[in-house]
Amino acid sequence: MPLHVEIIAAEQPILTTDAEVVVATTVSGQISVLPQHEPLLTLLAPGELRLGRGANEVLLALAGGYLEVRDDHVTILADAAERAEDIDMARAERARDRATARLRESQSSVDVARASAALARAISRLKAVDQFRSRGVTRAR
Amino acid sequence: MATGREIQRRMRSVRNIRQITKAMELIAVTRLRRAQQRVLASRPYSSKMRELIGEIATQAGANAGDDGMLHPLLERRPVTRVGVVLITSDRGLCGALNGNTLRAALQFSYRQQNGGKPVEFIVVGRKGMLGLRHTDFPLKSEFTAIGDYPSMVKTNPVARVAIQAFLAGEIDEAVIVFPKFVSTLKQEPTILPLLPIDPPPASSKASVPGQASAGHTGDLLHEPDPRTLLSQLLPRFVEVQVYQSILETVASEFSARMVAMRNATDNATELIKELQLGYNKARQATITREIIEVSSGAAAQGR
Repeated sequence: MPLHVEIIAAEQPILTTDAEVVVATTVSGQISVLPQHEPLLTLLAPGELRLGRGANEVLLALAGGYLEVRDDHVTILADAAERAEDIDMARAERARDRATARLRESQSSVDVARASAALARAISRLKAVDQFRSRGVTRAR
Repeated sequence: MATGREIQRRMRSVRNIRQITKAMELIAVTRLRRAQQRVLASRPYSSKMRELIGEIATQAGANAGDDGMLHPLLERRPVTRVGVVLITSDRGLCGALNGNTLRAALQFSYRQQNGGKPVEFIVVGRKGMLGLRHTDFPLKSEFTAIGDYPSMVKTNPVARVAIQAFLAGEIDEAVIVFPKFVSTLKQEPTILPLLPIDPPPASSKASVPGQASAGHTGDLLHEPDPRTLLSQLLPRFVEVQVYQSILETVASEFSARMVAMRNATDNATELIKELQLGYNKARQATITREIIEVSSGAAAQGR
């Protein structure tokens, strides 16, 4: 029985689907969730999220959030989420460059924190696109 | 009796007004639709989050016993100062919406004040800000121009001000006052507790199906520990609540404006009808008078 996956962002639900595996980036590293996983609640870091494998694979970039596993239901509360195929590569690159520049110039700790968060988001988006392209994943649904 | 020309001038101006109110009504209708969708779209996130917080808090609370607080945002202190987050619209022309919300907030505040608890305000929206100028309540901070389709990036600072004031002990309790969107015809000033966070009881679904599947207990595995998770989840939860209240306010604003503008348009139509009648009468009276003048002149000549 596959996992039932729900991805909900604060501003709208993103996606509901079934997948045989979920690979997520948590604050302490990547985890894979397979069916029959024990109940788990964890904090997600900005990074990629993979649902399913092979031809059905769906790639998303997450800007952090929470992941809950319970009875083969995976719920992801995302701060923001984007499907890899929807990501505007040029925009993400610009965002990364902007964040890098700001990181170099900024003095105050608030600026640094904000810029590095933006940088992490941009990098996770780019990585998701990269993986998506290199695998030639077919567009889901 | 007004002359025909005066009446015509008034009719022209009323027609112009009607055109504007009609346009505003139509704009409000389309924006309302989008605002409503956004309110609905934001609900799954917060209800899921509420569920999670309930589960962690209950579970961690049971494990930790009574030794120490789980998180400062959950702490119930004796209340000496109250913070009121008041959410209004930036613009007027939306009937009694802002007035009602402001009245509810002030009634609540005076009650607190009479009970010996000073009140401080955090205000969103120009209308609330202007309304509070006539009172003596201190304004902690104000936010305007949050926009018709606010994103969380825009609304989060509001929540952060409240959280900081609470953590710093400047306020011991915070409520949020906003016009709840009940239906297009009804918006209800609503006062909800914001801080400290009252963790909802863990839902029953937490344990029952968990025990059904072999080898699993209802207990969640937390990673990192519950405290760290809560310290991330709780401020986020406050932010989400503020965000939703603002979305509700936007939806309320548009529906109130839609109704107000529809009434204004109807009134203008009514007024135009009356003026047209008056104009016709005046015109008829002039014609009659002229005929009398001509005929009595002719009669005088012919004699």
